[in-house]
Amino acid sequence: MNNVTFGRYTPYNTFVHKLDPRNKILILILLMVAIFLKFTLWSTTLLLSAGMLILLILLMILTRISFLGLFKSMKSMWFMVIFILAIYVFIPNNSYTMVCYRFNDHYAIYWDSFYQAGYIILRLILMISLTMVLTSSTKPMDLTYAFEWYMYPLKVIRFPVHEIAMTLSIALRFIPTLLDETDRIMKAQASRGVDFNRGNLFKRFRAVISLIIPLFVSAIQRSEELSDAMEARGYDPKGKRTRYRKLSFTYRDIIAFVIGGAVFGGILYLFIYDLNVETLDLFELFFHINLGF
Amino acid sequence: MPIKIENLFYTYLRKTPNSSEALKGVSLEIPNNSFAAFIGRTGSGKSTLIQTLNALLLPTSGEVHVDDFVVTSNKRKNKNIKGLRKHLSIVFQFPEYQLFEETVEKDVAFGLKNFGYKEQDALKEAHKALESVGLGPKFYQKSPFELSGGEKRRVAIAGILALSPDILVLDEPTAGLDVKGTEDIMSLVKKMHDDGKTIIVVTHDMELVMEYCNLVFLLKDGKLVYQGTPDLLFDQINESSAIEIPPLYKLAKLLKDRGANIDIQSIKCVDDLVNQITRKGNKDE
Repeated sequence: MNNVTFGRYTPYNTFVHKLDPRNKILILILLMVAIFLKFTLWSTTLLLSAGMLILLILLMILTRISFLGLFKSMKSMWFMVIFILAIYVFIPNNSYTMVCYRFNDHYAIYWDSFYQAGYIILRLILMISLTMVLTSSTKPMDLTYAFEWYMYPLKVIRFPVHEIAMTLSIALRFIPTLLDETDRIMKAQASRGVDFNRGNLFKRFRAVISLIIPLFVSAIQRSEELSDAMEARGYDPKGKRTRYRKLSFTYRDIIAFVIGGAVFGGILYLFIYDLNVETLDLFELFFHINLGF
Repeated sequence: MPIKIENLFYTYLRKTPNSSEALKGVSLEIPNNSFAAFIGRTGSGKSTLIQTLNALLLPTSGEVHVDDFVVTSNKRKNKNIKGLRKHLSIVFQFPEYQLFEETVEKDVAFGLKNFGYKEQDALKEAHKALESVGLGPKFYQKSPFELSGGEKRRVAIAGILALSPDILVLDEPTAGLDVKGTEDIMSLVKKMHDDGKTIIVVTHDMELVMEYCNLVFLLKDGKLVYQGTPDLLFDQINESSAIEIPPLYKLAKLLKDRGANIDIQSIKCVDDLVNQITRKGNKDE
């Protein structure tokens, strides 16, 4: 189980690691919104997505995330990629214009559908890797603090902010513990001759059952023990509490926020321009090539 | 030589910033029908070492030979891992956490079925194994989750015993058990040893080492620092080391230092010491 390193926190000391988690979440949301903006011309959309991809690669190098992990997680996405492609290619859509292959008068395959599917996949990859930058550069505890901070205004309407934050932080805290537990149970069952990697579907199903049931039993036991321990120490979810680690904004956060805000603002401006003023053709603007659509 | 380990290295989370070296070049041999113990502080690499024995972990470098089986860093060279796991079985720490079937007998038979036994044969073997850990027919149809802690552990151990491995490895078999439970489990293990099996235990309990083992390996920070018999180990180490010398050994040693004519090497338990003292007394009379 130790090979599940994708998106796990890595203890480096980079610029991104040192940022305030609240700031990182905000920038992440801004960039995600920017990724989801779709322009009239597909060439413009793709060009801007490529720009985001370059930005992201720079960010990943800065955060010292290995690209290998990203590729590995992409590998497990191939089924979804094929699924998306099949749906877009084989389901007719009136707005498609560029014919790739015509079967008969009523049915044809369009280049547009490939673009649509490719764009969705590209967006997915961008989002996954963006989130990975956040999770691998921020301690889970800091993330929950940030969430709690953002949810703080909800206290006014008696929303249980602290309880949810506590639940979240316990859940995050126990992910590695449960992974270790999984590893342990897998080894114990492997000693009893279970093969998790080979065999037919039925055998694999049996193998997974032999893992899941003990895992659930121990997780439930653990949670009961934990709640007892918390109660024994007088834990009161409504009590006032202080915090060991204080979040603070520094000059780094201002720099990061300005850059993130500029990227978001720029793309948003282009989007509004494209929507309200005139169709934006970045290819023509930059390369003086008229693709002619 | 059933077990031979050559220059074994193991690194967790290799090629990541969290990597840690658990074994740093361990070489050792364990002869047939030994009752061997691995001791050392938590984090000294004991558990890692025993997991390489049946290829649950593949070494970073070095080789493990278990009779005709070989475990190396190269996956393709490790042939017949399933056969190795039947030949050398590991009972993990707190094995009760691996139970999952609806009934006790099914859970014990689970391993056998994985190794290709037919349903009926597997149940028959399972009943035998349950009998040997002292759980009678009234337990067969019970759910493993309604048993007590000690009973659960015995069911889990029966699950391994049913495979009738030639080499049995136990990771802290007595952790969390009371004196009676410890005695039950250890006498069971002793019986297996008397039946000609090779036993390897990982433990922190030095009295257990003194009473049962004839070979001890002391690990420290992933390196082997001592191998030999328990009494020589207790003789060599000083008070400040992590190992707690058993009171019985201390007493025997004090008696000997004050002139009592006793043979420390043959003392395994309180009865042995009593026998030696009284025999000497009888002779003098």
